[in-house]
Amino acid sequence: MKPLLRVRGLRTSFKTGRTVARAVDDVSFDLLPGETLGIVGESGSGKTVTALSLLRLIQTPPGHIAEESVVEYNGVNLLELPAKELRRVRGAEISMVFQEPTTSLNPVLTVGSQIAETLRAHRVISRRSAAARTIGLLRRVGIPEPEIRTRHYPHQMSGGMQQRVMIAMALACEPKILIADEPTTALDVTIQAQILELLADLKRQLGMAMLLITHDLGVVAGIADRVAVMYGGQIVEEGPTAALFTNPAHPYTEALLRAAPRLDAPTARLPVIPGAVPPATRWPTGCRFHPRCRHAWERCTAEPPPPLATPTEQRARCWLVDEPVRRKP
Amino acid sequence: MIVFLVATLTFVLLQVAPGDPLTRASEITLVPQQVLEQQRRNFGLDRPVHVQYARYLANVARGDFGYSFREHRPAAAAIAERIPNTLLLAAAALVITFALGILIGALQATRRGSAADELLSLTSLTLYSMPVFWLGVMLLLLFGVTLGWFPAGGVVDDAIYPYLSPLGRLGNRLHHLILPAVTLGAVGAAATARYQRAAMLDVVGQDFVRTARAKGLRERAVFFRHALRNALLPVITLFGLFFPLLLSGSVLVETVFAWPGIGKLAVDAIHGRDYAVVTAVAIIAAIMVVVGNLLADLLYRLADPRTREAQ
Repeated sequence: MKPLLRVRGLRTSFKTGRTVARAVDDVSFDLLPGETLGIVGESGSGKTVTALSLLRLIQTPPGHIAEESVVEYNGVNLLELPAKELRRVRGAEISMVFQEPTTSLNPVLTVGSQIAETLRAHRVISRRSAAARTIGLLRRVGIPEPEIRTRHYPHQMSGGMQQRVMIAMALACEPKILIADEPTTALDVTIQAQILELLADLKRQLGMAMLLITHDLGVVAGIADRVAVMYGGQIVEEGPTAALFTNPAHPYTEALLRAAPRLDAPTARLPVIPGAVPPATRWPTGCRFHPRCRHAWERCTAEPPPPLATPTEQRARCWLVDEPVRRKP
Repeated sequence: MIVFLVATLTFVLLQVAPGDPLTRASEITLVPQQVLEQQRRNFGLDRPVHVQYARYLANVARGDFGYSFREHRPAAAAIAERIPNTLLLAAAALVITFALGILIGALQATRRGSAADELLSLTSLTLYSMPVFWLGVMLLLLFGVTLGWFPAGGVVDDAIYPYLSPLGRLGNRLHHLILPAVTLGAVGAAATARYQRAAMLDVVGQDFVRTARAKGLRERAVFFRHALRNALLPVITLFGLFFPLLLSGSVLVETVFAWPGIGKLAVDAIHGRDYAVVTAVAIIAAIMVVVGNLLADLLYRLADPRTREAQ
């Protein structure tokens, strides 16, 4: 199947004073029509910057997306598109839901007007029918009494309701791709499950593809078809969800899975990954994970591993794929 | 409460200040001592201080500010005649302050770091630190005297005004209004521009502005509908703060430009120890400040839905 979104060699850096932080460094992936791709990683691994770079929502300066990077949608490189044409893609073909619904909604406009605004930016539609469609959208994302709620301001709603509004806004023009950047992180645990369920339902109904960004492996396991694990501004491992969870190829993925709490195998203490994510201004030489890796040998400190295909259909940036005998039990 | 405090403070200040309304008259030896005594009794100036104070408060509460010694008519009448001029000047200055300040500040924010931004920042800082009366004198010298573009003072040209057409009268008024209004508004505009620029830069970095861009809105809509509206909130609070400044500034500006408003009336009254007029002006100024703050609060409620009570 032809990918809907084709990302190749995406590099986004930030200039802070005299140092350059390479937040996203050579990220490539495909998103197929109708599929859900989960991007998992710790804070600072570059997942949010990746998401924002796709629609050029990075502030430039200080941000900068490398000229040779490619974000291809419908055969067009979005990174080279004139501002006017990019605007027709944003919110209509590809839309986004952000992490913090409270700060992502404009506090001085009613939620209804913020949704209707998206419709009117992309469709030739009267004020009245935009308002009617807005009420329909609010009902669709499960907001009770949408006729009343449409006239409310964001501060009059709970976080969960605000995120539903954000989702209604993102879906207003029935996009082909929804990018959800940690859509449940700022919400209560009970609300998290509801929002994820809503996203999965709507995705099925509308047949759109979804890029789900999260630090929560449990979230990914539940709804993603494929998973990409990010570390140090790169995708270190990528593959079908089931394969990646049962046979992690990269030691980082393996360590992440081991550090996740499980109900079926209770342990007294959760294992941790020693050390911390290095700053984006000074990535280690060779493999970026080698200072924290229990398998690392000389080759890992010298040569950065490219994405290598594994027997179980994954791709991992790890020399262990090349020399499996070095894997310690 | 504030009005009461101002009324009391004005009374105390006038009592503490040396001399009374008849001091000048007593310096002229021709006025017989008897007449002076008679006059003092007429105005109640021979009564003990606390009696004067009680009568004064009671009168003020009834809206009676007393009799002007200098103008030989009720103080209220003198003020009523002058107040439209001051309100006109203050309103014009207020428009300049906010229209110009918001526009310049917002523009600076969109071109942050450019040469124009730096230049405007320097200009507003200079204006901001300039005394109003000095700025007034300089503008008057340059545009009024040297270049002769604007009249040097007054509200209208008394000699020709009665013979002008309605449109000509309006033009004549505006012509006289420009210099004093610019003088009075410039400092406020500079301060507003600085606030607006900072508020705007703060807002454009916020999440909802990014959301607006992600929705595919035009930059113009992102700027005006989303960023500017929110950046106006801190500036509205300034509106209340500017009212007292505007009134104290109008005292200076009216004096420099011979503008017959209550500011100039107050200055003349203080020189002449005209108790009734001084206290009346002070109280009216206090009322105007209170009303200004109330207006700012109402405006803020209108602009920010979060400050409205939940229905």
